[in-house]
Amino acid sequence: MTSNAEPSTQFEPKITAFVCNWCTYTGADLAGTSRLQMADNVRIIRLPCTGRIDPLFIVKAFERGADGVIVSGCHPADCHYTAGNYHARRRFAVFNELLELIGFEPGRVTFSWVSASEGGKWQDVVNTATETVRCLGPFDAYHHLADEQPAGHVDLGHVGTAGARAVEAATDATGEAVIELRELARTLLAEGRVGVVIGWEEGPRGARPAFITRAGDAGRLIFDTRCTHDLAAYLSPRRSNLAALGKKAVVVKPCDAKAVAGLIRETQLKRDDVVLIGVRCGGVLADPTRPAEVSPETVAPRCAQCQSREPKLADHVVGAPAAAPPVSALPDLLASLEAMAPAERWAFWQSELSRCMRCHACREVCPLCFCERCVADKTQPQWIESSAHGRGNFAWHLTRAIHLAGRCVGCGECERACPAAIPLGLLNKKVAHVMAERFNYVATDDPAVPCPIGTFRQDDTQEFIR
Amino acid sequence: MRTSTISHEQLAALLADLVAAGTTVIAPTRAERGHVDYRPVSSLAEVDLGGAMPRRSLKELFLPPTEPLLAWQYRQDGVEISEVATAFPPRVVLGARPCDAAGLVAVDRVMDWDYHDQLWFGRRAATTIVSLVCSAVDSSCFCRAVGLAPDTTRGADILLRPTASSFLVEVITEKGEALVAAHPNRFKSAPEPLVSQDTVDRAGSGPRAPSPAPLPLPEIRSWLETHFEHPIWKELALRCHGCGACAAVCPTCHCFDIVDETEGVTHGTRRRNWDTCQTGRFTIHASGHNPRADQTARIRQRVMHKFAIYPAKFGETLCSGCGRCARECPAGMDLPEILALLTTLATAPAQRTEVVA
Repeated sequence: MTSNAEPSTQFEPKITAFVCNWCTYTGADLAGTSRLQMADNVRIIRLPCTGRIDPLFIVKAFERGADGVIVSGCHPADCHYTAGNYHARRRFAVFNELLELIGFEPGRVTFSWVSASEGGKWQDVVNTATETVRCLGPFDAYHHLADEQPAGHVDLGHVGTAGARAVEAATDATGEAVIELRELARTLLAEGRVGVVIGWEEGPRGARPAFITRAGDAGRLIFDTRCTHDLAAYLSPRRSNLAALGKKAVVVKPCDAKAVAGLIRETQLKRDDVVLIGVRCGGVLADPTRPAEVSPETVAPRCAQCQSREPKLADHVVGAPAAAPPVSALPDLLASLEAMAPAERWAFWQSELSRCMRCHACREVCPLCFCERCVADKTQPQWIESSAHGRGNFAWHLTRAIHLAGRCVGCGECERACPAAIPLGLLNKKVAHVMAERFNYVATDDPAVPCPIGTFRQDDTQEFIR
Repeated sequence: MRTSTISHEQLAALLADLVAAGTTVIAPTRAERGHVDYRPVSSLAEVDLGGAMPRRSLKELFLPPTEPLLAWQYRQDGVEISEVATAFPPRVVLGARPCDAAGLVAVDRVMDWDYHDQLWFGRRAATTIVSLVCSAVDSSCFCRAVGLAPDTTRGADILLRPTASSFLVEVITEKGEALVAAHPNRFKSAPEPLVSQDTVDRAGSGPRAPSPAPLPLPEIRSWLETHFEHPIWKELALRCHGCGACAAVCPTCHCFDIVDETEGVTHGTRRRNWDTCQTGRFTIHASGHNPRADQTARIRQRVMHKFAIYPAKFGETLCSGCGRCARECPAGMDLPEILALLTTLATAPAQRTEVVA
């Protein structure tokens, strides 16, 4: 099936095609039996359905030397399994934009619908993808990710929390919310309605999570602008050591309630198994260790978009009505990044991710990372290398972002926990934008609203698919 | 101990000399988002001497988060193994925190225990450590609590002690002596040698915030050795996410995993990567059984290893009191607080009641 009769010195790209068994594979077969001439750079891997094509397959192909990837399956309404391609379309819409943000040049990955009768279209997809990737050249940038090379720093003009000026304690420890909170906790514990109240307390380095098991200790609870931690993480079924405490009551800000809703939506938590104490919130600080005014310089980045002043998903709501938080003065890094050329974006992430030590703190603090065994910990096969080299780090952070698509509530705990100060939230924020723009979805504390990944609409946008 | 002085200008010139001669100089420097990290520098202007505590410890200069151990390639006549180099070009760390330098000595013991780790010691041999007496500490520092001090010489080849106009230079090791001898014009002989470590007046070089007083480490150790099962472990584990950030930034946590990564059908690389006892993956068996099934067991392991298991093997403590674990913990776990609690349990248990039964 080669169109190159003469030996050539030009670069011959290696392209891996992941295709579905029923349409594209059959279409490719038709192209072959019809003796259609096409580039011989494509190696086909046949899978039952595009719905079976994990974004990790694409990552793995590049890891193993591919210069380009084709993903192809049945046209909408043609899926052998009714809806596999609709699900795949949503997933790849997100993944495609993530790859773009990471710095992949357009054309490294081709998505197409090719039916069993479209041998000619398959010929065209193969020839076009081959020519595009040939022009882009070998994907050495990816292939050499594991080589030892110090990465330079790409500056986005990032002003972070480390530079924020702390002010004298501006918190009112005995404010209305705190008095109500302590009284409620005392009652819940004294009446035996819960075994533990999870809230915040004063720790050696500022506010921190508190576990109150006795009514007499309820006075330890605080709530102020330093209470940034998302306590929904303690409701995850992975926290087996918390089970012995009995039924939990958890103090939730409006944003935390969204994470609780996520756990309920994904059947990790029964609504009746938890008592939710909502607190009215006017924004929290990015850094819970230092008391400060919530100002444009100190406000947690996630509060900028927050429209909720009190959680709807709550059994009790305490505190005085709160005003909207100030708009963050931090530059919009995502916008700066999106304005860059692909090579600059690639350099930015290579520099940032070069500091990743693969401690997986980002995963462990995430309220929605509840898998009993994470794909990154699986070794048979080892889908994601555990080494902290560029290859392993890219695979991990891309996977984390795509696995949280439509599930991330934007609490920012991953970025706050990162001991390497990697702006991980940018990946999640990008995905959140895709969710809003394509699927009209924003994180909500209503557990009845389905996750946009896992459902679909027949008219979902598909401009990225040939 | 030989002492001399070096002015700021001469220190800058020394750094420039070293860089010009091709020696990598690593020093605390302002990095991403205002954090300070140990990074290669080319001039003293880049160095944040005595400023904020570097967010990550010196450990990773000697035990990188990931490093290749060997590479293999199948050939027709067998397997070809390429080993990695264990000799390294010389480098100088300027402005190391004394707690970081002391942490390296603790890891030295492990790396030369049942096996002499050539990569660790290759890098150790190639690196001259110039520590700077610590002046800018915060409330999470606790070097004194674990028997060290802001001017400890442990692990340092040279210790710089800031004075009004220059630095007093204390040469600690032969490696330090060699650095001074190679750049004689940069150093001025001190008018008289400094008195010994134990009697020197530290009033001017002490920490800003009071570092906790020395802890009764032997008592803590014997309490730990007899309280493997105790409600305290359940209580401490409650807020811990098991994220392992503490181990990642710790100057003495040194556990690693070894993996074989195939990079094609015929070749691949064996690497060693950091690992931490704070995750379930660390101990899980092939059968699926995990002897440290939850965070209660893992927190206990971290405290036990640092203050009982390691001391039992090496007679020292696996902690240099840098306080990074407390600073970086996203959930507010605080080792100084835990140690204070253990002290109470070990010396005056009546004062402590359990929160979790």
